[in-house]
Amino acid sequence: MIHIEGLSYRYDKKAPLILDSIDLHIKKGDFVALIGQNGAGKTTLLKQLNGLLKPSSGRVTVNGLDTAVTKTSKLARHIGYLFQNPDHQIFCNTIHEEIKFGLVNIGCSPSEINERIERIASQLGLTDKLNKNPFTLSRGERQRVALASVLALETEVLVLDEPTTGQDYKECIEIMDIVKDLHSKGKTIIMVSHDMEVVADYAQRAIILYQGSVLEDGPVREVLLKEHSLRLAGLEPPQTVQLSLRFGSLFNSVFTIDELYERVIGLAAPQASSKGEQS
Amino acid sequence: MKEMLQYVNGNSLFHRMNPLTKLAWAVLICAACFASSSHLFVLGLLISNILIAYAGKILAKAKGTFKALFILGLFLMLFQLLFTNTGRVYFYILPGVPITDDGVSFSLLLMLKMMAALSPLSLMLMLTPMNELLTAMVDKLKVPYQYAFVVITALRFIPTFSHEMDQIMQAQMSRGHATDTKNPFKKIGMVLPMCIPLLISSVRKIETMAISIETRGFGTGPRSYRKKLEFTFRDMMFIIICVAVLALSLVLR
Repeated sequence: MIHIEGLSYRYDKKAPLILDSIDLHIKKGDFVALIGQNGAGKTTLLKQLNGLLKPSSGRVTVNGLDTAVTKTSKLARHIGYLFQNPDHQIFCNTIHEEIKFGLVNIGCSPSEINERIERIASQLGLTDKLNKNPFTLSRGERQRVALASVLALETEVLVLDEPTTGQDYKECIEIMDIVKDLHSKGKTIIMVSHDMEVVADYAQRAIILYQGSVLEDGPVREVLLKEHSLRLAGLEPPQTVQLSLRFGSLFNSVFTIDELYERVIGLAAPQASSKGEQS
Repeated sequence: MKEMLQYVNGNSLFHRMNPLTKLAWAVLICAACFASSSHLFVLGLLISNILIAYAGKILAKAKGTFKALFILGLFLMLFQLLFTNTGRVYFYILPGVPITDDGVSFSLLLMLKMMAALSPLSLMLMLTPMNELLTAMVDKLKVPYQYAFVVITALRFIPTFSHEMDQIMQAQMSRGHATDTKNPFKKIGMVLPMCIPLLISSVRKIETMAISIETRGFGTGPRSYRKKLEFTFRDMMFIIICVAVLALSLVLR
């Protein structure tokens, strides 16, 4: 699906390398979390995927299209990109128009447009706000409008640059559940996140970027246990993983809050019953 | 384009000079350019500007400025060339539109003046940290602080907005909006709607900034300055040279 070969990038000839000989292969149906410190090159790498930035050396291909020679507006049919700051994306007078904008660009039929807008709006809880001006909404809502306008394009690949910023916990879960649902329908997801809990809960594969190179790449459940690499990249494992790292076998292979809950209940149950007997 | 009018960090002689000296230089050279009507003299001033950019190690960054001024000058030159009909006629480019020796001479002078007169101002901004310029304007020239602050902030925001615009364009391209077309007319039509998010985010940013500086006591009373700007012998000499250049331009006209 996405092939990155020997990708290096710098903003101009004298500037230092932002991305340093990256090799990645992202398969169809992958759910990839790109993690690393601020300035590690995460956003720069994402922008390479839809041709907003062109490689200084190396090659990036998406669905066989070389991003160096394909226009971004054309790649938009294959790859949806959610920007970090929703205000860069939103410019229409109503949310309805905002979602419509991308659909018109890729040439959807009017009935198709309306159908998609309705579906997306109800998924993201925006139905009763469709005629509102996006700029009157809260930051979290604007983020969802931006996400809606990207999801409406129904591209095979979704690139999400911190989709859950500005969301409260409940909204965060809602958004990630939508993303998860899309993934289960066969979409390829590539996401940047600073929230290790979200990464542990949702992603399948994690890539740690450190100073422009890939430090670790593998299944989330392996990568998040590599304490040394995580610390080097300025990251902390999720608290659940920290538990298992500290208490070893007791919390082994516990990754998500749900799993932790199960385990704690499991551990507590025999003791609780024995306590009951004593009293 | 993005680097125009933006301070370039450095430690050259010109970086260290008193901001007022650099301001005087920009104004005096500009005046000298307009006073003079000698091609060679103005060309000399233009070269001196380029040399100063070179000495200040900002030539690479100033290239854009010179190029923009060159293009602007070229336009002016073209108009001047077509609308001057005094002097000896070389040939008629269109019926009734002669190209004359006066026209060539005037238009060339105009272009040189344009480049030589305006480049010092932008070089000055590239060689002077904004806060030093602010201090100089308020402390020495007695410009009211609020006004000086407005000017400096406006300059300061140019690169920010330019970056913001880039982001917006990228975001729209990612949604299949073909702003990456090569056709300039199509592009203008497509880019115009993008100005709305730029405007909105600018107003938001400025509002936030206004509140944030107010909460930190902006404009409440007499200010102090972290850095005392010194006026050295070297500054004096440089200004004297600039005044001499202006005088020379008046003598040589």
